[in-house]
Amino acid sequence: MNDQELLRLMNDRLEGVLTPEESERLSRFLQSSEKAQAEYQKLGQVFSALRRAPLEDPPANLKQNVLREIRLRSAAPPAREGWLGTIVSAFRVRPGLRYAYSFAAGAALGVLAFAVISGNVMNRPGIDLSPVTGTMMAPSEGVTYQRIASRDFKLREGHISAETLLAKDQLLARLTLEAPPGTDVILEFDPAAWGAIAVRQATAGNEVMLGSGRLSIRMQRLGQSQYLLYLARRGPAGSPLRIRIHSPDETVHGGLMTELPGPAARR
Amino acid sequence: MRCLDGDGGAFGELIDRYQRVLFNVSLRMVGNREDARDITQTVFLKAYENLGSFDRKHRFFSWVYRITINESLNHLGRNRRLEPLDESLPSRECGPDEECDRHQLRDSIQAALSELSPDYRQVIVLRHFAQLSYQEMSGVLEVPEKTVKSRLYTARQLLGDMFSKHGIRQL
Repeated sequence: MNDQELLRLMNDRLEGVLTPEESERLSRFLQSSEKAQAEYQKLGQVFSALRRAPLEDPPANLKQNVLREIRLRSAAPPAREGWLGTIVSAFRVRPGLRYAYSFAAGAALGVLAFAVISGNVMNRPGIDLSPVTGTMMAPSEGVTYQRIASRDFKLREGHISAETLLAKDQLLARLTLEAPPGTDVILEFDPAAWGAIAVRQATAGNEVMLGSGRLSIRMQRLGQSQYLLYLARRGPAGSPLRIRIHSPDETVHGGLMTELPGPAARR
Repeated sequence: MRCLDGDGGAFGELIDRYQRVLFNVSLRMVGNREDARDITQTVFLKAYENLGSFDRKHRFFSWVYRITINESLNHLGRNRRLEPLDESLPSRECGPDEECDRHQLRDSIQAALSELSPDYRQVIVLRHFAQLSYQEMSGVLEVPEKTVKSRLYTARQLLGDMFSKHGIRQL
């Protein structure tokens, strides 16, 4: 019996698929070779250990996260070329629609202007994962934030900056990303110290996931994107926020403080 | 296949059905619960987004397992320059003896799996944690059944050597 055949017979017997004849043949061979016996015993221990290895339960919110992300993506507006093309073609086909669109656009601008003046365009409390577009993202209106830390990460292609700002019981992490598609940016926080209450994004189009203790962003579009992660204090400040960036050709990581050092931290 | 016919709720049932095994496959591949969770979520999102391009002649589970393996390999590739994270599989304080044994066994197996190359690790994971047949593994990995068996035999031998080294003999 050559080594290959011996290996197959031993594996097949431990898998329980060996025929009685082959099993008998293997037994005879094992009786004649101490080395083969030791090998068979070792293989048996592998099967036994793997059989007894427990399966882990997936995180309880996994399904919720996936379905929420699917809903978000379904609700995302179609690509710019798409709706612009639709409007342009509608104008071409039915010139009368111009008046209706002009009226609707005027009304929308009026509502937007009112919202900006009254401050209602700012973030509301509670979970809000709706895409928010815009080029400049300000923290919540009426809340005074103090900058705690900032970090800049220069990539071969691109640049990522991160900062933490602290209000009374709220921490804000602001990420400004300009990195090639395929780059993963992961912001981790201590879930015992902070609970996520909202994420806002400027320029939708990237893959964003918010989990317990982590905000993950996978870049899928070119150009700059910005994210605001609002965290509410749950307990004493724990470890600093951690940022990991995995671009297609490099990996960098770093930390960001969540408290001012010294007595100022207690104010 | 109700998903393919536009039944949105059916996708939730698919998640219920596959999340445990896919999470365990990615966990055994990457060795970190947080990363395994992210990978599993990404797998379901990719599956959902690409349902339209799914070839009904092929089995759904082969397809999602392939996405899971590929995502895990991509993750390992991206993290190859990082030091192993200390929180990947923390040693817990042991409670009852049986519970303690389970944790030790799990951690020892994970340590041994992490020493295998991804090619060998994936065949062990698919065979012993996802319970796939040789034929199913051949479909998922897109290699001949003969190659699957050969890799599996070698991987088990290597694991045997590592188990001896890590003292898993008595388990």
